[in-house]
Amino acid sequence: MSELVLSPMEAEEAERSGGDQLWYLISSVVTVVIGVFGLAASLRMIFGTKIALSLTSVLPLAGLHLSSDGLSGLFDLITSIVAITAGIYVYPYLCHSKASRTTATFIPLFVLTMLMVPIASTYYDFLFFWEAMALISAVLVLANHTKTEAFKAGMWYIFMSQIGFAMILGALAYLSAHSDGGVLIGNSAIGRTISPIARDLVFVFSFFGFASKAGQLPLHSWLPKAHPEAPTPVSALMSAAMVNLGIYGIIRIDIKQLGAAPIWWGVLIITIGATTAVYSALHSLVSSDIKRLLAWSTGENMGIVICALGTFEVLNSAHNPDIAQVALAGAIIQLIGHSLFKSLGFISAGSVISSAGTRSLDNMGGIIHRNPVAALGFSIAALGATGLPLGAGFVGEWLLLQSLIHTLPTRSTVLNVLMPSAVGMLALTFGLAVAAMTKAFGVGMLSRPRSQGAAESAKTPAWEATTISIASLLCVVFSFNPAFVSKIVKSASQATLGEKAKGSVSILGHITLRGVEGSISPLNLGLSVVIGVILFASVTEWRIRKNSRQLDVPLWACGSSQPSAKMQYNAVSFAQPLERIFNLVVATEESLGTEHADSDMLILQSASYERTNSDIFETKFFPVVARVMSTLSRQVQKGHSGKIRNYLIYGAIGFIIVLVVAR
Amino acid sequence: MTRGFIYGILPVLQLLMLGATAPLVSGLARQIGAKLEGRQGAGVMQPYRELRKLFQKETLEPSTKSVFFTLAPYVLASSTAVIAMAGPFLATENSFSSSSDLLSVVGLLFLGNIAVALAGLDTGTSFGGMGASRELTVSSLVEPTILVAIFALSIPAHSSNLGAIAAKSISNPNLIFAPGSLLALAAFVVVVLAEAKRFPVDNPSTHLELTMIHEAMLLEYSGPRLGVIEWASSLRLTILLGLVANLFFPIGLFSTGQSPILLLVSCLVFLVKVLVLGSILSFAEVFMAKLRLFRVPELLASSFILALLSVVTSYFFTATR
Repeated sequence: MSELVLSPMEAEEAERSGGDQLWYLISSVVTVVIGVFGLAASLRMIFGTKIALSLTSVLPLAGLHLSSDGLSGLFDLITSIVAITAGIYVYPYLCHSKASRTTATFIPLFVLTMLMVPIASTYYDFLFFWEAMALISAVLVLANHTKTEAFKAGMWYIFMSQIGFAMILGALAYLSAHSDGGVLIGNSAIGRTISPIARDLVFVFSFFGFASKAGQLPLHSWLPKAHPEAPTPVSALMSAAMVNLGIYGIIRIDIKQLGAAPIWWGVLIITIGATTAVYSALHSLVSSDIKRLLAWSTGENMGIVICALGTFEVLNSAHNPDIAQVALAGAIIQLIGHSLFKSLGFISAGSVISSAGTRSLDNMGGIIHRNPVAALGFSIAALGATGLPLGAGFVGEWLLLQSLIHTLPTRSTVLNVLMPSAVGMLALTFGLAVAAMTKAFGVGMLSRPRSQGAAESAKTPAWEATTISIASLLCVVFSFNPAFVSKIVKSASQATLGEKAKGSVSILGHITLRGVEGSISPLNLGLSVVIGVILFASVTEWRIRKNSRQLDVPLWACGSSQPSAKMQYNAVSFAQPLERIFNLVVATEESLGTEHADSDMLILQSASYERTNSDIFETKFFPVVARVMSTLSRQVQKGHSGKIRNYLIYGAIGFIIVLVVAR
Repeated sequence: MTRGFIYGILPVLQLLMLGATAPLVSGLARQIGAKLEGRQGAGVMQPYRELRKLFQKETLEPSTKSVFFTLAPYVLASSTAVIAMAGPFLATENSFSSSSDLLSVVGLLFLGNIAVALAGLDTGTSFGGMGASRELTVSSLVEPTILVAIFALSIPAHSSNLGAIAAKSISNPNLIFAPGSLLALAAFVVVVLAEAKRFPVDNPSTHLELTMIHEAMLLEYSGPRLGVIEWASSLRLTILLGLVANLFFPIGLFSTGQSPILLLVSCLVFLVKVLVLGSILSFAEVFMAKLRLFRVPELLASSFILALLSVVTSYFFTATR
């Protein structure tokens, strides 16, 4: 009987957790509701009237000004869809992880700020929501701050997002001062009205600032650290929605506001995008942590998107608007596809992690038998991430490739060298991404369980299964028939290029490019493969049943007894050949320690093996920057004498400078 | 009427033609190899006899398999069959050619590889995992090379559709001897060897598990499913040889509008081209040793560089439209 009576402390605990559960449920519901409102609003922005709202008393100094165009609609639409699927997953995740109330409160706020960024209609509002989004997400990354790893990741994130913000702030403050009343949306391009040098500087600062948010080199290293450490629904929101806003910034500021660009801008954008894509794909391949692998893959996909934007810039500045639009459509479709499969990937990975109790692929395996919904959801996401036909990433890559084929705008030597290199790097990215995703799915979800946790992992709870099914369905529909986004792509391109963009890509089952040759039908392709599988399977399986078959035959082990689960290839050994080939980039360090039982070192007592991969930017590039910074600050230190009169002089000089500038 | 009918039925004709002759191509290659090595050989019809045998045998299913193990052979066969239907093998264009785009063909080839690699991992044996790991190492370098090499051809053709590339080369034969195309051919031949699981990358007839790549993933398969994989593998060889033949030597291709009798001629021409290429392949194989696994990337990297050079050359030498 005594077991049934709760002690006062236990009762309090139960009550608290009951209260928490309600709190979690509210957080989940509010997130979904915000998502639904965002969805309705963004559909209105795309198909109907524009939104315009000015509330001068809401925000201090400048007031709240909202307005929209097709571009805002696109980004809000993506964020809303991700918010709805991730929002449903918030409740089971928070219950399982017993997260704090702060985390539960901040998730809906995070979604809200992400929805506000694309509809902020003045520079001031844009910067306000941008920074709010960065700070709120930093709080969420620090949700598990008691873990050293998570704390470090949070610090990296805060540090890098603030550097990025400083760069964006500098660039946008300049633009705001030279614009018509600080208005961002609905204002014509102001690139021509400012001096070329200032324009170049604004471009460089804002591009690197925004690219950092999208996880691009060289300010990328927060992404593979922060995304895995954040609570899983937040990882999904960050990877599938927040990084997109970096792309939004590039389109809104660097492409739209700054207007027609010199050719080197495009060259810089392509270089950064393509390099990041290959670099991230390699790191994704050698990661053993499933969330880290997905996070690196986000950097890779954003690299492809940025590469497409760079191609757009180059083609547009070379006066090839028809082909340029193909590149832009490629970027947009890749962005939509990525958000769909990445949110699905994180949610199903989260379900696997909570049921198997591990994030390491080396301890997973056999999930398909124990937790089939999550494993199948992950397989659809992984297929999307590979960019293969039948996956959600296929059409975007196809469009980018089309725009590169139809290139040759000028006889520029730089472009003749750059474009082939971009093609080569994209092709290599494609190959490596496939290897990474095959590893994640094959080692993690298929094969035999490699740990107790994986062997005893529970079935997916109904709530999670619902989320995964919804996200999978969206992903599959998008991969087989991207038709339903054609209007969205058109309205976003019109918002970027002005009304002259007449939707160069018509997507109706059959995608046919306008103005250039090229057509493809993902629906035909997908259906014929599926029908082929059904035909081959039915004939052969009928034959197999007719011939007789033996079930549960032992595995082939060269004649010895059953191989143990430890004898399987794991995530590390699977990637080892490729890791060895690309060792220069992934910087693998291995160490083998042995202890001997005798003095002659003949009898081995124990052996240990350690292996680490490091980010060469972190180990080689950042220390140099740090050294330069500390040398510079030592120089500055000399001026800090501690005497009041010196500081008064500094203040006076500063004041005069302000007066001269603001004259 | 007949024109539209032929256009519509061509994909099926191509599939039947390629599917029926595929075992013959690998049989011929094996027979030539045997003769050159001083053996009697089992005859060119041996692959057909093996397929018949496999389709009558009992199936053994490992206890640890999942649905991916069951479906992998069919995904391999189906993805390969779609390429056989869509590609420019008998004619430059048919009712299915929108799927013969460069990216979709490379993607479908890759999809088949992955299906088999996942099946290798699925059962949880050491050999399956080893084969899958090696297969992915090779294909993640091979597929980009195929992509880049054919990309070099699509720049002058202004289209990435394989049929359109072949049609362009027929109407303008100078394109075939352009420096870009020749470099692309060199790169393509190397990767075709790797993709078809032949020397010097893989040994199709090895019986030592440790040297296997492709075969290691199939160790758990038996009966009709193994038969499907064997058939699909020989179809892939035929397709790859067919692509070499028709992208770089596009003679004898049927185009809709010609009289239907010419279709028979193009069937014959295709068969001769593929059999000749298959013989050259097996002839060359006799004089080659298999490379160590970690030497293979060097070979593949050099062919990737060749492919990249071919794209650079194409960009430089193609006139703006």
